[in-house]
Amino acid sequence: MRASRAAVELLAPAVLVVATAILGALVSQVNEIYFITALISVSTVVALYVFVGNSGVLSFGHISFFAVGVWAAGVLTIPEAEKPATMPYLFDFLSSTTVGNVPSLLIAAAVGGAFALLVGLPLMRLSGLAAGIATFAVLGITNNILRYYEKIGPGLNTFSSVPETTDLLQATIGALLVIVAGFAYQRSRLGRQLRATREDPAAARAVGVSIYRQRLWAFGLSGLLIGFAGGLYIHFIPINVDAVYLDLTFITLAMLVIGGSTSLWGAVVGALFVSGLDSFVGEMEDGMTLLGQTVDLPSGSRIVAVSAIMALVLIVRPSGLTGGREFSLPRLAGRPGA
Amino acid sequence: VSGLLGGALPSSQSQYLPSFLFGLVILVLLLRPDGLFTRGRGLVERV
Repeated sequence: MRASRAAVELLAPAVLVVATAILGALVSQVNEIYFITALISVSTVVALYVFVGNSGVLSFGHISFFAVGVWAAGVLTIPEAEKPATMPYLFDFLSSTTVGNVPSLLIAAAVGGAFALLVGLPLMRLSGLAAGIATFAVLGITNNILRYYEKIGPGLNTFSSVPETTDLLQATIGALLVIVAGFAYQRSRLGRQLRATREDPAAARAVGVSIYRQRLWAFGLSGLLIGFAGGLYIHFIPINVDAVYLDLTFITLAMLVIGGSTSLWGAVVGALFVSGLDSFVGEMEDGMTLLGQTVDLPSGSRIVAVSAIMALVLIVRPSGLTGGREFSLPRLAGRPGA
Repeated sequence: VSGLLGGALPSSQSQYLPSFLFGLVILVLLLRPDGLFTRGRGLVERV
């Protein structure tokens, strides 16, 4: 029974992702981009959940690992012949190296993970507000360097000529891979130990669990997964440094909080729900015909709508739409200890 | 501190001022997680 419960916990988010992909394949190509964005958001939010959800420590810095994933995958896949024109100051080894789609995603993941481990070495000793502020400082430093250091990327310019290889299928596979990794981690000994430190740090410490070490592993894995998501993103849409800063940080955290930050199911539901809402309101900003009426919302309505929903969810359901619990079938849920 | 750092940085590096400031913030949080001017043992716990 325990195995079937675990299978349900993994299958439910996977089925939701596949259903989203099928729906995305049925709509017009214009609307397909919303579904791909939602699936990349699933990868991003699940990666964030691996650390924030399991440790209970808020991180504002994860988008910096996403950004280095974007930079790594973007710089390494632009055709060599085009690099001197778009990024004339690149380091020689970056300028002369071009890799394919899958290697670039693996490199993005590796770079994100390595950066997170490096940052985590000193920062994972902090807790609470201090940890939040310190991770925010990491985001600020990363953004500042990516913005002005043109030896590693396009600086202020938008990435151009990056092969657009992230289609619906690849975004779906990516989201499923990240979900499986997140699930495997939370079921593992390391994941359980980290959640023990979240529930009762003193008790966890008393039974020999190193809070620092567990947080550091989770931070590194989370950085690896979110770097991978960054790689998917840059192969989907050309972006610049402003796209991987505060707005993305806010919306990603909002997705996790709205869905329920302490469960994988919550991360997936939150990512899809907020992506859907964001896309819907975004369409309204561009003028949308709804029930015979033209709705034309002012620019910026998306962030207002997401913020309002987040405030509402925090008031009505402080633990998120899913209550911070994994998905379970009623019969299985009704038999505690089964 | 921002002014001091801004003055100390060479003009060719001035665009990296936010990085130095954020670096300083991290340093302060690591060394004194409960703040520069808190006396004794604070409420912030290090693990």
